[in-house]
Amino acid sequence: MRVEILGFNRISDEAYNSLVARPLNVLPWLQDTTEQDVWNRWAIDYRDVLILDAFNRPVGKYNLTANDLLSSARRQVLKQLLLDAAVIVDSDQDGLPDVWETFWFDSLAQRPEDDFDGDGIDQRTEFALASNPKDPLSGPLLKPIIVRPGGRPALAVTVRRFSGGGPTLMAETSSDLVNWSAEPSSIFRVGSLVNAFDGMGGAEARFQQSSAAGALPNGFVRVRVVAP
Amino acid sequence: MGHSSKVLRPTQTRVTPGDARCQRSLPSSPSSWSSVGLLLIIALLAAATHVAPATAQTVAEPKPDFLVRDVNPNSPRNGKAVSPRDYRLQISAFYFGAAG
Repeated sequence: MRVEILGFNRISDEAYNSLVARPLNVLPWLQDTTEQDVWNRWAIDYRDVLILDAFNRPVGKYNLTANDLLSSARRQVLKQLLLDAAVIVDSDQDGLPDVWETFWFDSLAQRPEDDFDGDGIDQRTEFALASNPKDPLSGPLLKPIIVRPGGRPALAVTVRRFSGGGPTLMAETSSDLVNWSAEPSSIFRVGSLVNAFDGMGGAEARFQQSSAAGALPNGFVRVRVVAP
Repeated sequence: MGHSSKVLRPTQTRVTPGDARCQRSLPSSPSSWSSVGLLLIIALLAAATHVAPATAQTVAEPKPDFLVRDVNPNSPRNGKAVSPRDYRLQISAFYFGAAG
């Protein structure tokens, strides 16, 4: 599963927040407040690293005062805690991770071909595209946009997907809706996944037509969920 | 190795609401945050596709919600109110330390 790292400053150290503003440090840095009082409510010790699972439940804690990360062995311990938390389990081997099934349905009874909310989108696709499988109004998010690399127009689409693995998404392009190509010379992935922070594990990926495909009179793009 | 890591299980959940242990004052460590950041980013990349057979599940209670602001000007969420609920169906790791 995807792992996101955040820093959390205590109330008394608010004056030092400017010290996090270094170009390579893009991790969120959260400032506690007297109103939220998270350090107290979460029973935190100074320099704790607290790991939460997909349900916001604590699954590991590692204190960096007691375990200085100058030690490679201790860095390995922390890394292993994160890796253990990120393991994807699929007990019934149906392609739907246990965490996804229990998050939405509190059981492992769902099957990939089921359509709980009756919106025509099966569970495999709801999972792969990080939509709400219990809300018929929640479906695939596809955002098309015309881009102009080198001054020539090309079609790009942003698609929301489950961020922590899952089925492969295959983008294809066509000029006639008959012949489709997924070749990198026709369409390719742009950039990395961008977290949607939607509480459903979603992240956005972008695919873009090549300049050659974009130069054709008509252009279409589709994204397929490929079952494993 | 004598490390004090904790893997929290139902009978081992040691956090209790209202615990004020975090009030003790310790000096900040200028190198700590950058070291953690680098390591954890590496771990993020390595963890994304790791798949393994079923293991024991933890059933600890979710941590209480909050809504606080991201004040790192270089963070993609700078200025936004952040909640742990934003990170459900993902793994989140919170470092409670000093800026610097």
